Amino acid sequence: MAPMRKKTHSPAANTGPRPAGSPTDFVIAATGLKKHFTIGGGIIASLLGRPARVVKAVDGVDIAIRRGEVFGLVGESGSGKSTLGMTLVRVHRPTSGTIRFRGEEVTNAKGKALKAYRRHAQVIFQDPYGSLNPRLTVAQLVEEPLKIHGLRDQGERAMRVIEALERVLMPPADYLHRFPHELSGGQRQRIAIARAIVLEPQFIVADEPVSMLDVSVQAGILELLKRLSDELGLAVLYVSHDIATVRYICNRVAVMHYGRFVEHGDVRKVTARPAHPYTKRLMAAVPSVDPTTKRKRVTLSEEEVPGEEALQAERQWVEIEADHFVASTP
Amino acid sequence: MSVPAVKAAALVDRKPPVHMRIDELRVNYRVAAGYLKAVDGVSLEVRPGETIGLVGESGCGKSTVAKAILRLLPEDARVEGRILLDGEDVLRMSNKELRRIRWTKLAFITQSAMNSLDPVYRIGDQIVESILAHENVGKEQAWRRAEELFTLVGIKPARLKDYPHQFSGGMRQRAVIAMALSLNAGLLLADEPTTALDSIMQDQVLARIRRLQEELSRSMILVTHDMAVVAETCQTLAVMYAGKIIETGPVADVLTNPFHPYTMGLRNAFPRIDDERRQLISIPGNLPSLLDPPRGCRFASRCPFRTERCTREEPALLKVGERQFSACHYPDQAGEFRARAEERRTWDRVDPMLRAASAAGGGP
Repeated sequence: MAPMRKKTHSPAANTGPRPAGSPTDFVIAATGLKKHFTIGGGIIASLLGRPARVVKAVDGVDIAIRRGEVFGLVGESGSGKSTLGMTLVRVHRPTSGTIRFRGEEVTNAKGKALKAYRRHAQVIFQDPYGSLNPRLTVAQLVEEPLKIHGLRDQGERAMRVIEALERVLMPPADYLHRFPHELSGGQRQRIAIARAIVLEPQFIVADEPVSMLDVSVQAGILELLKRLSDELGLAVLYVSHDIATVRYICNRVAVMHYGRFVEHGDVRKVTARPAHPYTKRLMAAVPSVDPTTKRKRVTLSEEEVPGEEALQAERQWVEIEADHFVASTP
Repeated sequence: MSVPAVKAAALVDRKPPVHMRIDELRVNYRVAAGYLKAVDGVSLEVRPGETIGLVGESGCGKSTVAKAILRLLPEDARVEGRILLDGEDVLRMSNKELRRIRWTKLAFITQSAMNSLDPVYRIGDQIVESILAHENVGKEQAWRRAEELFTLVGIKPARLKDYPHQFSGGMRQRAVIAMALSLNAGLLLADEPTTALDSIMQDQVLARIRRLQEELSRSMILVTHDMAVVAETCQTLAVMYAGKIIETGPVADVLTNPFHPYTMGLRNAFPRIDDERRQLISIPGNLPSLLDPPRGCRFASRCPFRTERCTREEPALLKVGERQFSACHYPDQAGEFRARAEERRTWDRVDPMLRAASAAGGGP
């Protein structure tokens, strides 16, 4: 391991991926964010004497993403990464903690304030086969968000649609009047991205945007996201279970396990020198196409990777090298 | 963990690994606009005990090949060719003969296996049922075998009494693997067995499959879009594109020295965790229409190295190595192609070529 530049601080004060800079640099920033779901506890369950159970999907996360930054969020199914993304764009209302968008609090925004926030915070979903209405043409699909957000001028709407399609490299003349079933998976995902950027948002959550696509087109979509982030100054949260793709487009990464971050920092440092046992396990699970490098199958047993309880005790961040933090027990 | 594996194997009649040969398989689906040539002249051999990975992207025909082997194609599909299991042609079997070979000679794991369990029966009962249907054993013995199999795939035997909804996705997938192994069939056909799982679960399931393969040494066909999975699980690799096998050979040979530009492109499109410098490169363009496939090489429209000959003349599978075959007209230039395929600008050239072709009214 790299020489320990041991610098600890308690997460309550300041943790999380928060590089130096003034708070206004951050497009989106959350502190102490929790989202708990109650399972059961309905009338029938309580009549039968079954207690309600609380699932702590997100359990105390600090995160901050800057303009033009692609932030990777990795973890296995059930780690809470999608819930975190959906909470940041306020699909869910957080149980506790605060969310700030360009310095303004949106934690409990409702009504008009919430709608205004959502105009700036968009989502790209995993399944481009399920997320596009099959009855609408490409032109209508990309125009829809503009209508919802009350852009009345038809001419301007058309201009914005064309511009968005050009940005995602779908020549408008060829695609405006096509329907989703005429498009390949990669093309559909480009349309989904055009829908997300047409409102000129500042924050985008991309939840497993390539995991349903063919390998030969994945690279194109990832690069498009990265380029849009650069060109438009977008803050992008890229959610994925595949730590291998994260390295290609992200500047920073956080590894999530049982609703908490266990490691975060500069993506090159975290992937080159993973320090938390869970991160090591995630890295070790990625198969390699190169038959000459026999990958080290890390046989970390369940016991070696801290469980939920151990993680709750891990309340301290250790900076093991510049901009590379690992959670550890105090 | 290897102790129960041996015991489980001993509990089941050991059936010899199956030899399978596919000769010139053609499958056409009838659609409104005509016939879709989903599989167009595929030949493949699986020697006893061999594990083959059939790789390709959506629409390449790999799942259709799997369905043809299982005789699960829709009734209006036109099927030609032969699929010989130990010399017997599956395509010409009666339903009775099919029942005899399914689960004994041929077991399979489907893509969405987690949904193939009946939600209203206990998982153990479903496994026992499949054993009782095919083998002359008592119920108690069948249950014991189910317990051994669960241990083998890493689930506590006590959980045989659970219903499917009590299992996570990964556990259900492993339960179906246990079921597929329950009769120790001579050939295991797995169609995207880990696609629905996250990377940690995928790694565990593959490790199980690989170990079972080593211990029980039966033949296996793994159908997947994921080259890395094949690299770590199989001995032989067959790459499909637009209904045809375009390259095949020992896994290490094909991946280190691909001869077909599509294989080169596919290899470069893979994110790697172990190589910092490598760029991720996508292959421009789309699959050609299978209703009216192009005359020459089917990959020509997306190939950065194509010549006039490629659009005119269809390349045959040529021998390029000890056991390696590739369907490209230019095996002699493979070394140069490989070097150039690692550079992004090589593939960037394809896009303008595609545009020029479609502007001229021809092309894809």
